[in-house]
Amino acid sequence: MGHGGESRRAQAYDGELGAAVARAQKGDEAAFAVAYRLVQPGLLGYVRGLVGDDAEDVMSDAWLEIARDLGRFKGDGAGFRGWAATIARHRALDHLRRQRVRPRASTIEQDVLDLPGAQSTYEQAMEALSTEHALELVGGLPRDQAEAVLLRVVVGLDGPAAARVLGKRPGAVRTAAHRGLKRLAKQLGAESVTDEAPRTLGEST
Amino acid sequence: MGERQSDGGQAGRRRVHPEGTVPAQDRPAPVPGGRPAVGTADLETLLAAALLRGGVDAGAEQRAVAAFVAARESGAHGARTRRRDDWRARRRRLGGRSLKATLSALVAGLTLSGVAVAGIGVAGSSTDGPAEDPKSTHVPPGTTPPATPKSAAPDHGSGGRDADRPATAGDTEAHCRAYEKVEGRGKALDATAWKRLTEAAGGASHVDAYCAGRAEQDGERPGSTGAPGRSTAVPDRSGSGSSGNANDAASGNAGDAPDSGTGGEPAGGSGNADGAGNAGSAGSAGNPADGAGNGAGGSAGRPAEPGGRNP
Repeated sequence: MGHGGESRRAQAYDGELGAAVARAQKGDEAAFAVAYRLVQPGLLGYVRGLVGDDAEDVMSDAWLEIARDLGRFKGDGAGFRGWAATIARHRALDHLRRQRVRPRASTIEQDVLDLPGAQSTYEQAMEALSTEHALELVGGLPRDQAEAVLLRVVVGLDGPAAARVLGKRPGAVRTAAHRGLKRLAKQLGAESVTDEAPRTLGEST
Repeated sequence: MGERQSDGGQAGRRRVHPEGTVPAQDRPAPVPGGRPAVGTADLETLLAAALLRGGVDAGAEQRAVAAFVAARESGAHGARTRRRDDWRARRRRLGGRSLKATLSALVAGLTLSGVAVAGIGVAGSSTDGPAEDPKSTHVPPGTTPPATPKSAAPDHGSGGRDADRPATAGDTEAHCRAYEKVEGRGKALDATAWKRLTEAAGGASHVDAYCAGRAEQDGERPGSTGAPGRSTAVPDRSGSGSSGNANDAASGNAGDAPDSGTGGEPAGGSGNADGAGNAGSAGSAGNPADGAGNGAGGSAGRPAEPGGRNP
């Protein structure tokens, strides 16, 4: 990981994103649509890791807020990514709070059983990593590790930005991301040979 | 920061690379145990590919754009930027750092200045005591000349204490000697001791005359290093007590000040105003500065005293 890998994809779009946000702030709705298309996939992946199948609805709410408050935002493309991620996270946490009384229906077991447990080679295991499987793996991490990994890998935030989104110190977030990735790597390596993958799936420690 | 993970029996065997460098051999490779290892760089790529899969839902995009247009039409985009909306990373990072630096500098400054002030106070009292006690008993309180208007030094914490504290002859002599040395340079003349001397003389322009008067009565003192050429000018006043002379000279000069009409009072005022610039440390520095003055005077003049004084 380090500074290079996590946000290389995102950085490639940040120039374009920053320009689109600047034009959108002047009232250009087409530019706002461009920004939406650039940011939404990452945010959706992140929120999906938090709330599962309700991610689309949560992001719908988040975009309403983003659209409303865009005039308040100050910053460049990378900053917009972090700002939008903060809003999405708040909406996701609100959603989880509302849902606490009725836990979401879990499809974890089925997904785990569908794991490519019989795969004998690494390549096959990797190719078979579906979105659902990846989400379940990330969902099996403690919340702080999962969020750190998702913000870094999926949303493309750098360390300080991810720390600001999470309201934590950059060092703590870096450590959490490192531990989360390490644990995921271990699980993937183990799963490709045996079914004894850790099944501590859940969303918190 | 890559890692090669092998089976449980060798869990302790790991390789950690410096951040940002993922060597080629860190990529997944078959491990002798038959289990593949997963590199974190590949894992990130893999996760991103898996989780970013899928396009954008057109309906959701349309709703978001519609909300944007509605907000634009309603003028919501003119809202003020809150702290959480400011993501200009450079400025924030700088601000956080400078805030931390400012706080630590403040704490360190307070600590060190507290130690320094305490130390000066100790040193000053030790120097002050013996030099001043024998003589100050002769001088009734309140005989010091009227001070220049207090408004000149509004923050001067030790102003009242200075007025109550009798000026001693030793102080004055020492100050006069030091005054000639430092006059015109540095900020030494801003110190409380000089302010007191200026007050005693009745103004900055009278300090020379005042010191001359002081030097006259010390003229007969052998070895006096102060005020050459003045020391023998008027020897007839040398017979009286030192404290009495101090009062005479002080009150006389103070009385003369308003009559001189040559800007003595304004000059004195400005001198005091300069002293006010020092007021930040004057609350506790008044006595230390005094003590320092005594110390300097003592080194210059005291050796001659046992023989020539104390009639």
